[in-house]
Amino acid sequence: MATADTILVQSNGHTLSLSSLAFQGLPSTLCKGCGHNSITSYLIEACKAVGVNPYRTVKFSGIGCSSKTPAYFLQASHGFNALHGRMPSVATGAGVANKSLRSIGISGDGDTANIGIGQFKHACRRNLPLVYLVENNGCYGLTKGQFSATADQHAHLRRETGEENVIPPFDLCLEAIAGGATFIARSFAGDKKQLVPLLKAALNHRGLAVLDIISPCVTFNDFASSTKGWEWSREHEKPLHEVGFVPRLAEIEVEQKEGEATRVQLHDGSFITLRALTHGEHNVTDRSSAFRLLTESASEQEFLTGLIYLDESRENFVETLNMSDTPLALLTDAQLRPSAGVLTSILETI
Amino acid sequence: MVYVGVVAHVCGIPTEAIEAGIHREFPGRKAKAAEINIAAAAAGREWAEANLSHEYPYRVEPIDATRDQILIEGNKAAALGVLFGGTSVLTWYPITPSSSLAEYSEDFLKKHRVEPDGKRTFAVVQAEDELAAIGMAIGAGWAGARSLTATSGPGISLMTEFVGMAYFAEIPVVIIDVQRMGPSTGLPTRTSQGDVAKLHLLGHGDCRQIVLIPGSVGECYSMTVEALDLAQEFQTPVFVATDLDLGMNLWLTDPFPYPETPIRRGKVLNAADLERLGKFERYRDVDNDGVCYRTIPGTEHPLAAYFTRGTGHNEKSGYSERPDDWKKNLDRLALKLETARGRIPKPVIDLQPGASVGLIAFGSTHWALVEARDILRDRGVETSYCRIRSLPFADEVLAFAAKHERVYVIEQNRDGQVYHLLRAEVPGKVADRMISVTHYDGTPASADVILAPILAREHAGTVRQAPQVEPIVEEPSAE
Ligand SMILES: Cc1ncc(C[n+]2csc(CCOP(=O)(O)OP(=O)(O)O)c2C)c(N)n1
Ligand code: SF4
Ligand SMILES: [Mg+2]
Repeated sequence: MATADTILVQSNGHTLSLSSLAFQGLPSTLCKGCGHNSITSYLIEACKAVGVNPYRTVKFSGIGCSSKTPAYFLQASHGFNALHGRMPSVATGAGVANKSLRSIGISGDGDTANIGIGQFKHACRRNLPLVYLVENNGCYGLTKGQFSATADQHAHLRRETGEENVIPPFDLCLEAIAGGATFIARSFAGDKKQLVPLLKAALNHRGLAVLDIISPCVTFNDFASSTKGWEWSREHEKPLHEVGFVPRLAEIEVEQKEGEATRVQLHDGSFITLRALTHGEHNVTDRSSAFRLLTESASEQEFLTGLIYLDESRENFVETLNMSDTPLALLTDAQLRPSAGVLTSILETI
Repeated sequence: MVYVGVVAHVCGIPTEAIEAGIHREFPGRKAKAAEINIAAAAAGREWAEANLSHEYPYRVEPIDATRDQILIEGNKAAALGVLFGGTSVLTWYPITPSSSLAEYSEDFLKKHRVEPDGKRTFAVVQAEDELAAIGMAIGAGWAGARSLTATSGPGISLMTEFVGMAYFAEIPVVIIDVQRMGPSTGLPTRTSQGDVAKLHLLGHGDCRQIVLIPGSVGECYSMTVEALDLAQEFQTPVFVATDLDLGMNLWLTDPFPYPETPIRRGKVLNAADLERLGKFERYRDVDNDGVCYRTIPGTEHPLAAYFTRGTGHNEKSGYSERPDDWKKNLDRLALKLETARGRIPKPVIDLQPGASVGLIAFGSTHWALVEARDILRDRGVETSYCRIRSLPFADEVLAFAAKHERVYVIEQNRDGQVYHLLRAEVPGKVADRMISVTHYDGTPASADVILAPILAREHAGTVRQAPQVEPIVEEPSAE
């Protein structure tokens, strides 16, 4: 039985009862009030809720305050705090080496939109099976507040009177959709109601799930006019819909009742439900609708949050490689090294 | 083809041999073309018989010396090493002269590493650049695969940050560097040994990497296999430094032997081990050899997980900025290298009794050196020879240097990279006896370029009595 302190997870056909401690991590060393801490706690909640097996999950990150957070959740999972901007390549290699593992990657706006934009876009193009969180605060928290490539045009550096950013930003959701990612959402560290179901859905997605989450840096970018601050984000957030997550349903319940929220089925049989609040015309499974939504909301400076795009039909990168059922990391000697006869026959043809 | 017929006459190549060659070039449906070409060759021969009376000194005759031998490029040989070394993840970004290594590997893997159900026991990923290629290889190595990437000098530069991290976080990965000349496109079609020192010291802070240096296509094969095992055993990047001359040219060789030892996987603990031990600390030196135990992600045990980071860490892989943790870890990594020093490929040493001259070389320079030694012997200079096969230097290399009055270090780079690395490791008196001989115009070293400076110094073949003679060879200053 699962209690508040134990979580049931599935592992190779059997059920494990794990202490909820396995989902926790070390105490955070980030600033008090940092948006990244909120995201960590929602991620833990989502992992517990959908029964993520920590033993069969791997965590990755780049470098930044955000990238430190894999130490603060799923302590029973292996983690890899990699290089600045290079998390996707490490996750790609590990995902290929052991296709049976679930991967969670944490990055920052600097880590992804600046130094790592190339690896980010190639991860999108490959549709890597990875939950990819960008904890976006519009600045480099770790190196003391410099602008990142998601800082809005006319944003100010560190304080109201700080230097002005004159270059327009990258919109990571737009980059993701152009790149080929198949689950794209924008959310806000202050919107637990929306973020938790989005995370649950992302954890059950087949390919690359990009979540661009506005995550205020209380130390360097949280003054009144900052579009990445708590106050501004709270006041201006415009959720596209109410998001719900429904685990795999029994056959009878699958049929949708009239008046219910839109349901989109994920590859594993679970559902994400969306009840439109604004932009009711937007269809999350339509790529051009998503492009339109993002470009229009950017020009109107709307802070839209919610699920922007979802495609469950595209194979993920690991599936395209046609690898053996046994993960590469677990192959036997005989599977790894062909026989002496094979060597002889090859040498005869050379 | 008419020309072929003329040459065949002049050199005495039998008609049957020419015809067999033409048939081999035009098999099956192209057989018609073979007839036309044979006729052309015959016309050439007839003309030559009628018009060339001159006896030429060159003859071509069949001999038996190459029976059972094969003709192969180093890159294809290394690709066989990739296959039989048990590589499971190959990542790469195209760059001459290493591209064909990855492409041959992929061909071999596709043919010979497929399960009865058609599924593959390998993955090949062409990355978006070398940063990603090494990142993927390291991610795969960390997750338990036998991973490998191949590149050339410019790619090595891009891989540097990751290599430094893999050294420090202790992640197995094999990197083959098929060396070429210079930066950017440099001389992409020319050969060099200009990356050796850089490979050995690659990374930031205190890094010493294991580098294997094949001297033949046979070693391109065997050392790739060996590198894959060593990376697992020492949980660290292992380089294989070949070069364009070895990699892209065809060489005659004996067929390659099947690996003698089973696949080696190093110190990996599974769930049962963890249960039995009741304790696991990722960076604790349990066996006092500098090599720790690791677990593979996915191991279902509460003790299995650890957090990998480039940042300072203690034995439990916990974050630490404590000076003693940092220093202790670096010292252990140094001990690990010492353990490796005794286990990586030993030099091949040919000691000639009474020889006061020692020659040290490595890699593809070997072949010119063999010829140079014969000529030196004819001119009265007896030499001993040590072919280095790996870095860090084995003790035998240092002992060899100490044994000779004059030690020439011959290499294909401007600054005498290995000469300087060696001088740093031998006592000052031995270092003073070392002389650098370099060749760096992009062409493979020939016996001439080795001989000239040595003969000049060794008095053109007379055995010198007094060892104190002004050096004629420019010695790069040692700093
Ligand atoms: C190659 C390299 N260059 C620069 C740095 C310094 N650096 C560390 S974190 C960082 C920016 C982090 O910003 P972001 O990803 O937005 O993370 P945040 O701290 O804001 O969460 C930089 C530039 C580094 N670690 N590595
Ligand atoms: S500096 Fe900013 S981003 Fe970093 S921990 Fe503090 S509040 Fe968070
Ligand atoms: Mg940031």
